[in-house]
Amino acid sequence: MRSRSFTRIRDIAFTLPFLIVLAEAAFMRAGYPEPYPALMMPDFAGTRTSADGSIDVTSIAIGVRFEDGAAAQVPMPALLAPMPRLTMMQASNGALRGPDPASTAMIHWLRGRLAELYPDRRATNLEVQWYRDAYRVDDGVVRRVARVPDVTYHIDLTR
Amino acid sequence: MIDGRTSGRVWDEGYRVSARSLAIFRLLFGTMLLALLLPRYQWIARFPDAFFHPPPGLTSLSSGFPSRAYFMGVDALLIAAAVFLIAGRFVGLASCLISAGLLAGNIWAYSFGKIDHDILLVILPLFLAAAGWHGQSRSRAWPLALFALVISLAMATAAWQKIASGWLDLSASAVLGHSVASAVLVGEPPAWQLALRHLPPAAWELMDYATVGLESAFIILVARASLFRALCGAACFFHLVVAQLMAITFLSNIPAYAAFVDWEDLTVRAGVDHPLDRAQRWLSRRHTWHLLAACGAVSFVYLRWGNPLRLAVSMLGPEHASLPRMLALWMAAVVVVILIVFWLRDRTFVHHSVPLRTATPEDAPALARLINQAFRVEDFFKACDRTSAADIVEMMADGEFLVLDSADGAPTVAVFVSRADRRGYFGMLSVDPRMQGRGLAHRVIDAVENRFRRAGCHSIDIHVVSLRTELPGFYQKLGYVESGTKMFPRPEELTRPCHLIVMTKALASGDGAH
Repeated sequence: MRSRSFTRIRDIAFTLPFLIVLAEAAFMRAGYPEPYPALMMPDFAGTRTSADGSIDVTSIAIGVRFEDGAAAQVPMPALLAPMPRLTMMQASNGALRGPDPASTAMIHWLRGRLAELYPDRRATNLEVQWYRDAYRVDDGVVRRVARVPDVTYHIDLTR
Repeated sequence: MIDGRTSGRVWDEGYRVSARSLAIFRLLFGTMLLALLLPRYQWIARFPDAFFHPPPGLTSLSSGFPSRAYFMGVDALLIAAAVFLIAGRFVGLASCLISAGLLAGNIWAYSFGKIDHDILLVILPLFLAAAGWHGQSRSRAWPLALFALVISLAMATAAWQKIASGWLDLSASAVLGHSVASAVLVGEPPAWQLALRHLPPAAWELMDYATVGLESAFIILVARASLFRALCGAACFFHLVVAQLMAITFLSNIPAYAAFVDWEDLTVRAGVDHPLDRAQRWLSRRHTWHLLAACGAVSFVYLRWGNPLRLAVSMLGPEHASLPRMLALWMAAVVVVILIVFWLRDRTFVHHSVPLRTATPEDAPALARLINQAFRVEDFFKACDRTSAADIVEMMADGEFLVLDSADGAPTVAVFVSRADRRGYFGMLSVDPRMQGRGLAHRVIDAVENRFRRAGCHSIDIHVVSLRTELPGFYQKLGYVESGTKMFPRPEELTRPCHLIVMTKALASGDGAH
């Protein structure tokens, strides 16, 4: 036979998840970003087809210039490895976009990372170009129909 | 409205799975942690604090990431806890450490601006520990019911946010939009080209609705355990489709769904229950120092070189990095298909009446063989056979053995039945091990209950050995409740102390089904 106190604790336990979810909803409704830890599943809000059928995608191109004058494109997955692939875009958005993507710590890290990727060359400059792209699906094929340059950051790696 | 009292009546028994089933799941969960998910946080320490953009929460007061030693410690703790969880030692502590370790790592991993919504993976060990996945005593149903409610509410948050952000808008497709974005940014998932070429626009829109519908259905159906389980099965396919179309191998919810599977039944039907039992017994007998040494060795390998499975896959190329997770999703889908097949077979065959005959003394040697084979599962606490031909003949004076014969005439199922006043009793229910997992026990119990009902009995008693922790849950599902305990009648046969649990089912005259 279960005691009254056990039953009461169990009743509270069954009520608690409702209260947690309500508190989370109130928190986000007040304009705050999603907290963690939280009892939430992904919303996948944002990226949808627009009225004309196009899909807006933010993309990034990272170019590196070396001491000898040569240049190369650095794929984001290579630069940010071993970060989980699905984290990279948001992480780049935080670290490689204003207000200060060229902090001393960031430059130090970029120098070290590029030295790992290009061990025989010395990188002097990094260009981070953000784009707003638009794609369409026509006849089962995805085509980029627009590319608008957004912001560009030139990061001097010799500082 | 779901309140505690409602939950006590409706949820407790509907969500119950046997302690043995939970113990098998514990083994699977610990193995999954070690094989697929650990080490988990070593990459964080490689990035500078410029990447530190924490969400509101435990890390928002910090100015940057902790040192590498912190993440080494968290991963080593998780590895040790997973080893002890698999071994079935200090299970409560190991469960708490896994939850704490996952949280202690995740709060930093998700401070890069991206939250992976794997909170169910974090809290799962706490609920399962409360439910009794150590497997040493009776399982509890209410923690599983509470976990089901938590899952349902979490899924409801996803549905609610999708509805609020326009997923049900017929002029736009969210699944298509996200699939294109994933294909462009992350790479094309396996079925992407196929879906793109052959699916009409309406199918993409339908997927938006199906996603919201599935996520909403959890909270609608959570009060019905059987429907909730079916929904968990559907969700496994949902995550597989998402992985195929959007390159998101969202594995962390799969263990949460798998917690509700009757793993005992599945392993018995698949014929792997005995090897699993042996493996669990072998693991549980390891000395603590051996386990600590194993923790040290695994931690050293994992933290020095990385997860061996991931290393092996990385040799195939970076584009195959998600292969183990994809395979795990496929395996989950295969398990669901197997469960559906078993369910359909049971639905087709279980309710057919079975032709039971009364055994004669001439059947005694064959019955003794059958019963002793079926009761080999009790060898872990008994030092001798369950019965003998002489015992069976002696028992026939107090009742009768009912037998179900196979096509070749050999007894396949046997059960001893007797009655006194208007109380029925059955025991020694034995199914030929080669025929187990086909619903025969259910059919015979059904037939025995009908027999007692026709004889005017108002109740049935059974005796269950306390060490057979899986049996009370099995019989509870059939309507039996614990009504007392008794001493084990032949204690000299025991290698471990135990007693008998008396379980009783009231028989209503019109109660023809269980």
